[in-house]
Amino acid sequence: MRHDAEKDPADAFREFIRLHGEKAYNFALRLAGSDADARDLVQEAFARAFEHRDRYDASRPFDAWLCRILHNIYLDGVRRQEHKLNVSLDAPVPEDAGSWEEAIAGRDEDPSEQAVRRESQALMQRALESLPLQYRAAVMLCDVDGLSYEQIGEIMSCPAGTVRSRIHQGRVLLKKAFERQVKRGVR
Amino acid sequence: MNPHEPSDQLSAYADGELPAGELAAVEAHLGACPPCREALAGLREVKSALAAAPTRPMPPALIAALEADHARRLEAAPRFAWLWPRLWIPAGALAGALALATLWVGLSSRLASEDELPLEPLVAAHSRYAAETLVPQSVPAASNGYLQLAYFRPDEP
Repeated sequence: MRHDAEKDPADAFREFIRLHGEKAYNFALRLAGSDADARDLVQEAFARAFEHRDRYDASRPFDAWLCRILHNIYLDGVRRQEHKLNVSLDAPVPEDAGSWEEAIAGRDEDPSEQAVRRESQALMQRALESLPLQYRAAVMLCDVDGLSYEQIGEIMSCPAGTVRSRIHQGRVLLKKAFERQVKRGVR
Repeated sequence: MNPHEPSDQLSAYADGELPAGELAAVEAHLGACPPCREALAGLREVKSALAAAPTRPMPPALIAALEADHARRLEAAPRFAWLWPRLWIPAGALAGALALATLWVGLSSRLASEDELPLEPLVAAHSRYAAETLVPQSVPAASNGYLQLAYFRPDEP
């Protein structure tokens, strides 16, 4: 990753955020489940990326490196708190968990379709948040971010075989959790 | 593959990550096992649902916070870093130059005679210069303080 040394520093960094920030923020949001925690994660990740910039291998995608930093920060936080991020399937949908609820409506959808889609997305998000971190992260990196098993393994510091197992188990658990919510009619 | 239990081979198959050695066996099994085909369809539904999840734009307050953090970091960075000139040299060209210098040393040592100029000291000096001066450095960029890999010679303007 190179930047024109002659650019205004503020403009250069703003461009940097435009290229990499949204992906980092959305990954943090799915990890942490709340906007406030996601912001803290992203700020910490950018700070660490700057601090350890000499470790960045410019031949590799920067997004993957930044996601690895985000993942490690979140993992450290979870371990410090000595609990896994679990959301009760019976709990009401948190106010700020609406990253998928606030989705931009499809132009061709009528209001009833939009409502159904938003509800479905909210249930899917809650089901995702109920997964243990290792499964949640693996599934998100594969299905949302479209990364390869090898890339995911680099982010999560585990072999591709472990990634494959976690993705599969994550999807199985996610499907069951989602179906349970649908059956219960949880809102 | 156990036909009674969907394995991670199905997910890897859905992701296009199945090694070649397993692909034929899985496809053959899927052709003969309706429960596994159904399980595969379920996995693909989950994959599609997640892939369709919308992304959220970065909150303006977060962008502002990142910019403020970065400005503070640049203020705290060593001043002299901004004065380091940078000379971008492709790594391959540098490696090639070093290889040629090494070869030159080897040839020179074979051809040297009493009547020839002593080339070894010159080549050795050049190799030392290349290895010690033209070195890869990770330095903060002059303008944005970020992630830049550069080759540089400090004495160049």
